[in-house]
Amino acid sequence: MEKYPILFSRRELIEGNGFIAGVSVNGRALLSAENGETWVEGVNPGGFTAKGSSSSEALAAFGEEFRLVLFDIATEAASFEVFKTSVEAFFNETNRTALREWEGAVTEVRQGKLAADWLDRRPAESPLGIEVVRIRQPKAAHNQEGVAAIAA
Amino acid sequence: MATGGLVTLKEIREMLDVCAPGALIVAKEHHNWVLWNGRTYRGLPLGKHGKRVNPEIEGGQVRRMARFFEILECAKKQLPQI
Repeated sequence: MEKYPILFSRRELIEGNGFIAGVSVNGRALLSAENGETWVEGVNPGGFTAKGSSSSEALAAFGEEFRLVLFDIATEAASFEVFKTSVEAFFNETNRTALREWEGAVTEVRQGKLAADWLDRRPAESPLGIEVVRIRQPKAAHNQEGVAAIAA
Repeated sequence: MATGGLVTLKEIREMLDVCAPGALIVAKEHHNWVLWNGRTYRGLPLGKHGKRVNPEIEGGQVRRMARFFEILECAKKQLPQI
């Protein structure tokens, strides 16, 4: 079973209880295919998974699951500060099992044993993180397309 | 036991009682959250038909939750279909 190390970036606009928040994430995930299905597990943020019938479908579902997790966190949060703290905790809950496989897959990509021509390549050491900001003045310039790349 | 790789929420609770004693499953609007050992898995599906008392959840989803909590070997003994 091949496993692919994925780096992804997304920006979401989330309505909470009395606030609107922008959430920008640079994260990593592990994509694997088994029994005709493709699964994507979050590494950072960990703690959620998506699947699809193809890699592109699974990655799209992963983005949707990420958004739904943020919705659940927003429902629980009584204030922007609580939401921000909870989202940061979510990001920092690393999936250690998936991380070990992610790092092994990066080695395979670098050795040329694993390729994903359907994805751009980004250095595995690319900065990771999540930024949660309160949106007071919405601007079209804030909009950002989600992207995924293979870590190399 | 559910068939076709499906696992009921009750079976997941029983597995967690053995493999992750003290774990809590909390239903949220979009997912079940599973809390154990200071960590939270926020992506366990509610089940195919939304919130129900004992929904069936895909075994692959349960396997990945078990990987997150690093209890997979124990979980597979309790729930061979995952």
